[in-house]
Amino acid sequence: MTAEKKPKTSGASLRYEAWLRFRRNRLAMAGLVMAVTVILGAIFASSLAPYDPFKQLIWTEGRAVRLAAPSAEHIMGTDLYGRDILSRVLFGARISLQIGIFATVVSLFIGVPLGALAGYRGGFTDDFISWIINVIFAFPFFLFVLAVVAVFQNPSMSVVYVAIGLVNWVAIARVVRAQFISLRDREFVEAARALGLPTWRIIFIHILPNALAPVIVQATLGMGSIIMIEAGLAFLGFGAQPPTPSWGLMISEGQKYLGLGKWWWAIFPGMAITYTVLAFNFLGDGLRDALDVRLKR
Amino acid sequence: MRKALRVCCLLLAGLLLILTVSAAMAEEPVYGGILRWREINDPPKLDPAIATDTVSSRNIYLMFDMLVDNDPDGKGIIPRLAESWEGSDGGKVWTFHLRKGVHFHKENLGQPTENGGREVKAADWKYSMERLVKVNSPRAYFIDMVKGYQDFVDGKTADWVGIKAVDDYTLRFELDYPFAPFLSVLAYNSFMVVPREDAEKWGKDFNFHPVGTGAFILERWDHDQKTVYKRNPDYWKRDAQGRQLPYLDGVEIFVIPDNTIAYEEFKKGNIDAFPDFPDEFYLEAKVRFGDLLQERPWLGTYYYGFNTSKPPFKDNKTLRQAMNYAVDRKRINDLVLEGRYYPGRGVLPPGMPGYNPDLKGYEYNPELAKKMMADAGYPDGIEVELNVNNNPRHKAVAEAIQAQLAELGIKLNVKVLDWGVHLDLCERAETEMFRMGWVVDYADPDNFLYVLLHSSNFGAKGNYAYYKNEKADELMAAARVETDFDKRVELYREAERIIVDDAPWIFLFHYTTSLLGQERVKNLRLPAFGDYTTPLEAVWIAK
Repeated sequence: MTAEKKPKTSGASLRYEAWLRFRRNRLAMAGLVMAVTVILGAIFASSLAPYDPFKQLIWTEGRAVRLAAPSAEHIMGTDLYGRDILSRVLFGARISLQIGIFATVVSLFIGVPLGALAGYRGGFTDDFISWIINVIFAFPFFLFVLAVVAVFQNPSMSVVYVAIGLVNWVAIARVVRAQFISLRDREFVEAARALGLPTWRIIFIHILPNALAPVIVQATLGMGSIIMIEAGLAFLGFGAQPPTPSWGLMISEGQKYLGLGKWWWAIFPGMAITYTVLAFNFLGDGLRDALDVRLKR
Repeated sequence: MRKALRVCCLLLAGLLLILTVSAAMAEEPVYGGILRWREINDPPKLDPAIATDTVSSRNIYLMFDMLVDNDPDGKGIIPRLAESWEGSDGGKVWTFHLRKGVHFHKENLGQPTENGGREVKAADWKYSMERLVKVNSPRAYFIDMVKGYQDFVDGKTADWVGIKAVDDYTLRFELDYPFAPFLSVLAYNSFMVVPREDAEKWGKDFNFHPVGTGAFILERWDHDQKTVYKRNPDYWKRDAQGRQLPYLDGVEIFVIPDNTIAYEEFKKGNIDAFPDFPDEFYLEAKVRFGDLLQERPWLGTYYYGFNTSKPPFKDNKTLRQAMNYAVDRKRINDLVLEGRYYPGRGVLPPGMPGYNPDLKGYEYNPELAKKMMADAGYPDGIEVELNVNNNPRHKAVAEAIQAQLAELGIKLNVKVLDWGVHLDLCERAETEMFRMGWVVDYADPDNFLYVLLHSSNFGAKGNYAYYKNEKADELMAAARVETDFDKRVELYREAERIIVDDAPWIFLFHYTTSLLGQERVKNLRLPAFGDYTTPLEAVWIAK
């Protein structure tokens, strides 16, 4: 490693130490590897998938490919329309990650500025924003998202990430606010203020970079729960619409056949969800342990 | 000692055998028991005047009675609260002789009713029919040929002059013109008798306090869970041996949205009757339950409507026809619906008077469809939105059609909506394409062609496609007043030919109706009019 030979600047060494801590954590590494496989699967879905995920083979090949059990030709079997489940699961990774990323971006866009403002300003601003945060926290997360989606009356993917973002930002905002409260009276901030810099500059250029670690952790952990929420919404018929290969939608369609011994339509997408959510949870936990200096052993 | 025991055992076994055999042989109806019926959603309405859907009707049939009823095997009209009737003046006057000793419910939701269980008289019928107009019943227009309808609707007259209570037990309707399906229309489930006292006490809330004359009395309505009914001890009907009906102590209609759960509950014995049996379990249930799964053709049509009042489908007949050619109805039926439906060619279902077996319709022809797409101005395909109500079967069909249309470059965006929202959007023409089904209200082509496709019935009245063709309008209107059956059929066939050619719908399937019952439930018979009309007053549960 080249970094070891270099004279250590303090920033690089902090990051490097964090990486060392992360690498020692087996679950965290497992999470990283799992997350990378999901991401690669999503990116290369079109070359990895053996079939077109939308191609309904029953119209050309008849009953034989209708709900066919896993075999060499269709590793995860086929669904009612003779679509290859493996291909759909791979493309499903795209949907899940897309939702995870976009919803997180929406949450960050709302949560970071509001959290920063609350933490930095304090007083009435803080009371007001904290009050909103607490109100949203008081609702069951899933029901709140469902209500927001229902208000739009137009089920589509973009509504889903906006809806999740509108609810999920509070978790980010709370973390950011806590960081800002602890940082706002530090010397470097006072120095910046003494220089007469504008508030937005102090918040975004001076404090925010120092508050990022917990935000990254929160966002990573949030990915897992967002993917779960999306699957739940799709299962209930909100969000992704057929024939989108959303995992939740596949489970919802396939679960009817579980009781008839045709388990593969619902079980494989279910396993994919479990795998992905676990990946992001392990990764998030690992990042928290690695980035939190106070936890240093 | 041991021998004595053995003898005892043998005797006991013998006795049991005799008991079971005799019970099985006699099949004497026994009183008591609650029948648990499954429905997929909460009834939107319980007031017969404003209900238009089958789940509401299922509930309403338990509590209310019409003048006349449909024969369970679809062979004409049978008496219900009218014992007999005659038509005169060339079919312009209808006189009904009412059954004596029919009483309104004495209680409702555990409270005594306003009417106190009094007898039904002809004046109650007049009141009930006039009430349809007063509460803006979406089905009042079914009898708009009764003299004075328009004046009464416009408020020009204080009463509906064409309806007359001649005496307490004689009711007379006078029509503007001889309307052939009049008797069948009166068997529809809006034309039920209600007590004035209770209807006026509750006003709009009569929907939540429905009082009728039916075999069962509403006891509780737990929204989205169940409606609970108890036996009406004063019901007018008796069985062949003169015993008081109904046999059951009560009926509970459970709301179970999920088919898988409903089927599991049925297998556990927690549900006694499972109507509209889902496709995914059909093959298994047929083997497992045999004849307990009843199924028969149903006068109904399943279609995808085009909103012909807005682009892209407005004034583009070729595009609509092309999409009709692009759907392989037969194979969707075989592979997705387990072959339970009939591929459709037109509007009228087989079995309906006037059904045209020689109608050409649209055979699956992707090449022709592709060519027509180009002629229609969409050589590269088109993107359209299809609204579907949230039901596994409709979603399954939509996914199949989506894939078949995709072959032509048509991108069908399926939007799954709750039934209430879906219906509302269709009524207000805020769709591009929509799934819809229509099942018979009265066994006459008028109920399909005039109601669904005449331009005077846009929106909630039934013409969700906002279809208008002046020639077809004329033919359908002419058929309403024609009395000669053969001539009417000719008019309807001509109108249907025009409509099929205009293709305001993708004509998809004709329905079958089905009902799965537990073995212990006796006398549960699926009528030709559909599972939701299954009479329950003579059903009994073996002990």
